[in-house]
Amino acid sequence: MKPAEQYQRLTHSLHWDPTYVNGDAYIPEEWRTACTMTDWRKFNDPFQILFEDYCRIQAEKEDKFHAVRDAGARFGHIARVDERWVEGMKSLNTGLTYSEYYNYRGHVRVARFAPAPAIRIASMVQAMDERRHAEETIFQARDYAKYHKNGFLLPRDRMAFFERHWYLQGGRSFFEDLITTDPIEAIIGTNLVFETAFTNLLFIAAPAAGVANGDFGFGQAHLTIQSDETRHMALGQAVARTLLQGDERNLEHIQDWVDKWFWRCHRLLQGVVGPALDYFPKNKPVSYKEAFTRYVVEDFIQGYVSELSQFGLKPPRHLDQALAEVEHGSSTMWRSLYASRDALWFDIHQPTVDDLEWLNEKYPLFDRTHGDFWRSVAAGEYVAADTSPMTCDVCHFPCIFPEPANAVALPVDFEGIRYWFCSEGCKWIFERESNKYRRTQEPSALVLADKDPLWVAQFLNITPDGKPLGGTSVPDGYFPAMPVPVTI
Amino acid sequence: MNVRVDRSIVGIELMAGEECDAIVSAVLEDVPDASVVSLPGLVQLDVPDRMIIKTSVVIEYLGRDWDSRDLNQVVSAYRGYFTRWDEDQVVLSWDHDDQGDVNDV
Repeated sequence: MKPAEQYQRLTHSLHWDPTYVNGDAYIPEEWRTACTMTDWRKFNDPFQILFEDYCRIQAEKEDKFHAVRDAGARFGHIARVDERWVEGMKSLNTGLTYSEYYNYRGHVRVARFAPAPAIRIASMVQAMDERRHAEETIFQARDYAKYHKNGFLLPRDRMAFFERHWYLQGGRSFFEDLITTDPIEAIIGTNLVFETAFTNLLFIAAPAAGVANGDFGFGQAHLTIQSDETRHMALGQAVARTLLQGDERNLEHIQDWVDKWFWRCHRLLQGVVGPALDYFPKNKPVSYKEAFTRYVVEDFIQGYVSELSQFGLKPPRHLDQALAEVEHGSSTMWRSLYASRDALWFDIHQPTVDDLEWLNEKYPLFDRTHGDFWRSVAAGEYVAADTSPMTCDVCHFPCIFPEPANAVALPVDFEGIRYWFCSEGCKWIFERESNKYRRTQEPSALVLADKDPLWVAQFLNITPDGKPLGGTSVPDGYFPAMPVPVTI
Repeated sequence: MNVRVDRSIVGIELMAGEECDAIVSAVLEDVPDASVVSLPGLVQLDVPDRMIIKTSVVIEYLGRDWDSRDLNQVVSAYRGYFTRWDEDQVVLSWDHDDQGDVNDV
């Protein structure tokens, strides 16, 4: 059988329209896309991957990843990974494990509710990819725990941090948002914006930094993860192009989703990947700003968005704000982490002379906005935040941007409650879908006010001096009494 | 030069190694002034407007059989659209209908 025929069988022949139930029961309104297309069956995924090829290619990728892990254990590479990088992994790897897992859940949902057979199959395959990625990060965590003297986190700690610690709520809220959207929004948000523009910073630039600091397992894992993303990117580009070309009513939705996810991605990546490129690595092959320029500005904006401008698509609404922030945003984040280092489970170091020289070279604004701070730390001034940072009600990162001396905090009153936002971008996102974000009052605002520091430390799953507690311990009075559903 | 995009560069980023070397050599044969940048663990290969990877040329450099579907094993990122991907050629272009080198199969 020819590949084209096999592909037809896998997608279109596996699809059927229900006759025993009506359309509303099959795809509830809440999960039905707002986009229109005359015949969704005509949509084709450019990769047209066959299940047989998929299994063969993915198995080879896995073999290569585990070969690198084995070699790392056998020849001692893992023990020699630079300590600063391993501290970075305690945050990045932890966030990533659950982010990938959330994405797996999201794509299973797209596979179920997307209207086009080809999108459903591609999303099912993508769900398997994301699951593989989550598992690779778990294998790596195990390797650090077993072979590196800095140790690592226990699985239960990892989950507690992702669920509760302020630093990872940016990631959690991002993925919870992403997996509860219109199915085509999920494709635009994930495949077009996140994976075409932004994950290259995480899975190409960060592995280069990992390899430069001795972490070959991280390098191999992430380059193979991003090789899966090439399939995802092609799907996102094809969905956007086909819908924009096919029906002009789709432009409004796609533009909105590009605007929204561009800003959400910018916030998440700058907050989490920024430190992983500019601060954790001792050897720094590429700065966050350089990677942002290459992948987001040149490839995404000057490439894909400009190609799609023939159908009316415009550059993301808050692009200028993002460009201005990238000039020193990773440093703003690092400084905030440094101030609250007593409540973190990984080490935040004071930049060395070499680090500062590199930062000044890569970021001309660095000295003006952050130089004095680090000079006073170097002179012995004790800097510690005595409260948890005030966080934004959309992105859940601290309201410290673009830089601490000039931080933005914008209020919106909605149904009797005042919400705060770190930026125009997050405020705009809230105003578009206030009902979605009103439900997500997060730990720092709700819980940490007026609480005893011991209680706060227990909530964050750390001892007062910043060590992981081990296990998930819930302080008295946090969770309101609620009945446990019988199905769990 | 594709006038529809602000920056008409296409390219791929590959995991370094044997296959990467063969693919880079095959592309350099067509586009001698392609940009090749090495980073730890990977290679960034960029050319103006369009890139055609010919399976037969990759096989020649690699010295063994190679299936163009396996490009997905080593390519971690790209810029441009994959407008053709079959057993003979893989084409990366900003022109959405670019079918590559049609005279040469």
